[in-house]
Amino acid sequence: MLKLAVIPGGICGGCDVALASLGEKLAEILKYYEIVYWPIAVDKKLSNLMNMNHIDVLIYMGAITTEEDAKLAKELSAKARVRVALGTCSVYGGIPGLNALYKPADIIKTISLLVDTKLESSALGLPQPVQHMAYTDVVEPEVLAPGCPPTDKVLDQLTEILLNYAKSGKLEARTMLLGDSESLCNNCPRNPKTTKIAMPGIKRLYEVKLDSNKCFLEQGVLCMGPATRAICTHPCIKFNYPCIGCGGPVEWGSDSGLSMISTLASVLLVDDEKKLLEPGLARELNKIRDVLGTFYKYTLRKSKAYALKNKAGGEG
Amino acid sequence: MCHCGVNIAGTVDVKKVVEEVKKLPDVVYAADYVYLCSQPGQELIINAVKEHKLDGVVVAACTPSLHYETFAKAVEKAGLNRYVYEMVSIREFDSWVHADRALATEKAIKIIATAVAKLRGDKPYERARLDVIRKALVVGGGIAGITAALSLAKMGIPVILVEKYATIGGKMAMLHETFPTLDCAQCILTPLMAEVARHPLVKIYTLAEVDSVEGHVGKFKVKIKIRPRGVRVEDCRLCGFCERVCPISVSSEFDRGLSKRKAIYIPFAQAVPSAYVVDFEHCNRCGLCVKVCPTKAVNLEEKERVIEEEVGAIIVATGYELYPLEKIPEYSYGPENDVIDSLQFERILSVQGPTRGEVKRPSDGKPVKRVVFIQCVGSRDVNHLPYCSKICCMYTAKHALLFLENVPDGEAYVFYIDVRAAGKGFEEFVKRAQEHGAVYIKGRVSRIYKDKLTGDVVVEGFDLLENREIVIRADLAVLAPGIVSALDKRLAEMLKVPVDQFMFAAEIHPKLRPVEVASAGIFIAGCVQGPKDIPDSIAQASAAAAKAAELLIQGYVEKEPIVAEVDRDKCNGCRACVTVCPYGAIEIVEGKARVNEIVCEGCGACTATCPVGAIQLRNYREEQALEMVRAVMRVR
Repeated sequence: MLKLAVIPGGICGGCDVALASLGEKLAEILKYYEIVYWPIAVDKKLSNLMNMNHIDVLIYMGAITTEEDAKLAKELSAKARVRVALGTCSVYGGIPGLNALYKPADIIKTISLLVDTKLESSALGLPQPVQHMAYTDVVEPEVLAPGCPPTDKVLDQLTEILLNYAKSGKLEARTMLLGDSESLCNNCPRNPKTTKIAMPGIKRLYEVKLDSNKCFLEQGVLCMGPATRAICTHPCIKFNYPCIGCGGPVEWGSDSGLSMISTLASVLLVDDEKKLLEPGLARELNKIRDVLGTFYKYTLRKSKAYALKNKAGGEG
Repeated sequence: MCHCGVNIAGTVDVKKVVEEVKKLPDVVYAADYVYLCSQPGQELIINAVKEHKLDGVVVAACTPSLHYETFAKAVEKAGLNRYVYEMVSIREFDSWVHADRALATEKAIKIIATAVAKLRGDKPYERARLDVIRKALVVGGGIAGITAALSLAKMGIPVILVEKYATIGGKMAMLHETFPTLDCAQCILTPLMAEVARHPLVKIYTLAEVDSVEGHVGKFKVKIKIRPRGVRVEDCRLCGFCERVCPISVSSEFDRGLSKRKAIYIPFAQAVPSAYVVDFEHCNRCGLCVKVCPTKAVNLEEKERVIEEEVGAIIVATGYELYPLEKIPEYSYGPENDVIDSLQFERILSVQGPTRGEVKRPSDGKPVKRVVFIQCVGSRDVNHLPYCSKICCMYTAKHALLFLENVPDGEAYVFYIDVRAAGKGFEEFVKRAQEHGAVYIKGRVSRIYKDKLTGDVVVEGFDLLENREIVIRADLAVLAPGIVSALDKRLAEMLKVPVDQFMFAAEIHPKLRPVEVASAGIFIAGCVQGPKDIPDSIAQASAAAAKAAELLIQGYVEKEPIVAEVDRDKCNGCRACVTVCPYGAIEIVEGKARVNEIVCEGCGACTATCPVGAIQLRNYREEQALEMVRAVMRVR
């Protein structure tokens, strides 16, 4: 039996549920693997895990938000033969990654203003917060399984990898980014046309009655689909809700927010550019509320925007 | 590496650069020469390639716009593909702009290092050679279109001339006399019309419009929609019987509504083609004309047809229209109010016009003694057209002069903002009008209305120079409306003619390439490019014909192979590239982008817009750019 450990970092629980919902496939996996740690599923002690010499497969879920997370991630990963980053937080920093622009102390201060409880970490014995990171900022995992939560498509691919590894003891490639190597537009269910695409302006969802058969961008609604990896089967888009980019960029290492911004610049009000000129276009672009939260909702921690900010040493 | 005499070597330590460049990865040979562009300099490159079996060359010298081709030829002579050669400027970008020798030397090394880094990713490509169909299409049969067509035909190139109306001639045919020489417009235009119609290499389609355009430079497939004329041109003898019996009477376009014509008519006596035409919109199919026609030329059953032509080049000469005066209600435009536009006044002056050249009021036929001319109607007005329409100052001076000559006891007033009379003989011409008694008033007109009691046209304005309001009671007011492009959006899109915000065609370079547009094989002439007078239109049409002939007479075009390529595995079919491509070179085929290599000009707009990095420019790939950046960072 191979040893499988599932380590939660700063998580919301969605990845736990997604993994548990594997159901029968989980049973199949358990023919080859013994779960040596997974707090919500099995009653195993962390101290035992820490004492183990090696772990075969380690699945890390969530972002790294505390010193404890960071320590566990580093020490346990060193013992693991195959490291899996499960969920967008683990791969790209996810929504907690949006905190990366702020100092931990400032975040605690802000929270203190909102809630009554004294958040004196040491007094309460709470772990010390660290600058929020993705798991991939600490180690270089062999398998990257993005999704918020990880989709069936991604989990099926992960199951396959785990079973193959159990049987052959080998991985197909050194770094595997799960999902399909294309963006969501490729199989978009919204009857894409073949003529040019023009965005009539920037509209928020409440301002427009969405046609469920027409490209979101052509209706003025920002959709991250063009720059987002196809890790899903368009559930949001089919539900008449634009993609918000939880799958991350199409290729590991690229920057989906930046790609989307340059694409947007190309298609926004393309027929009226000469009439609006730069001030008119700028006015339209200013309608985008929360630029980082729109283009980098899930990937800020791994983005060039963050790298630049970090280099400049600036704050918020 | 070139010294360029002391141009480079004076500021850059050439020997040191060569030593450092030799240390760069993959560099097997580096040398310098005093004038690399000279014959021995080129031999140096050729010998080095052969001797060291080089598979790539970097030349660091002046600017590629000066000597790229020189060294490309040398590289080809040495047996290498020209696309595995890079030229970088260490003169304009380095020695000429820096003074510090050490820093300039370091910069030269860095510049060369980037070129070496880029070269590593360069692949050899072959230029495609395309045959060019030796035939041209001219869209628009005004003076510009006629000039271009005739010029091409005289060079032996077959021409298709497409005109929207029933006759060629355009706006110039409506004019009475032309400034500043007062040549009779008809007398100088109609011989040209006849000549172009007679020329065996020119095929004229009137009542015709371009319906669709496919293909690319050298081979455009054009569909032309031809509306029925209802009269067989070759059988019509202009006897006019049909016109006499026709019971339908409508206002004449040629006289701009100042006279009536029948539903079967000839636009004007010297129309080309010289034949009557049926106005099917107003014709009631009574058949009287069919009965009286002695040659059985009339056919009311004629149907619209679409013909196809293949041409190698297209000249767009769609001309202008006057700014719609309904948009300026405060001037009460309308012949019934005796407020007319400049072309209507041309018709009134014309001996062939509705009044046989007598200046009479359109409303009641009363002889006109006092006229007010208003310049810049719509032009130079932020609420209408911000630009200057260029020709109005001159034709208004002409109108004033002709009126005063025609009516010696008449009075002519001209409201102007500025008189722009820049042109040969123009200033003198305006002076002449003023000496003849035309009164020039600097200021805007705020309101024009018809006094119903007296029948006067009342013009209220402001005299800036005397700083007072001014009211003139006149017999006639003549407006000089701004010029707007007659190019419609659909045609511009079909022909891929880039336009500005006023639908004027945008030339590639306003100074150096005034008759070419960004789409290869398309040329522009006349007012489609911007307001201009007859001499300018003719000059530009001749230039467009010459440029088209360059292409057509050569017989082929060579296509740079540095175009965009799509990785169809990565492409998601999002269409952003289709949107940004200024040449219309990208289409979506089976859900993915495809680049037409012939149409693509390699600008790279698509590569910047692609959200997944699926579209890349050959030899300018993203990896190459990153390698170049890394190279700069590495060299110290």
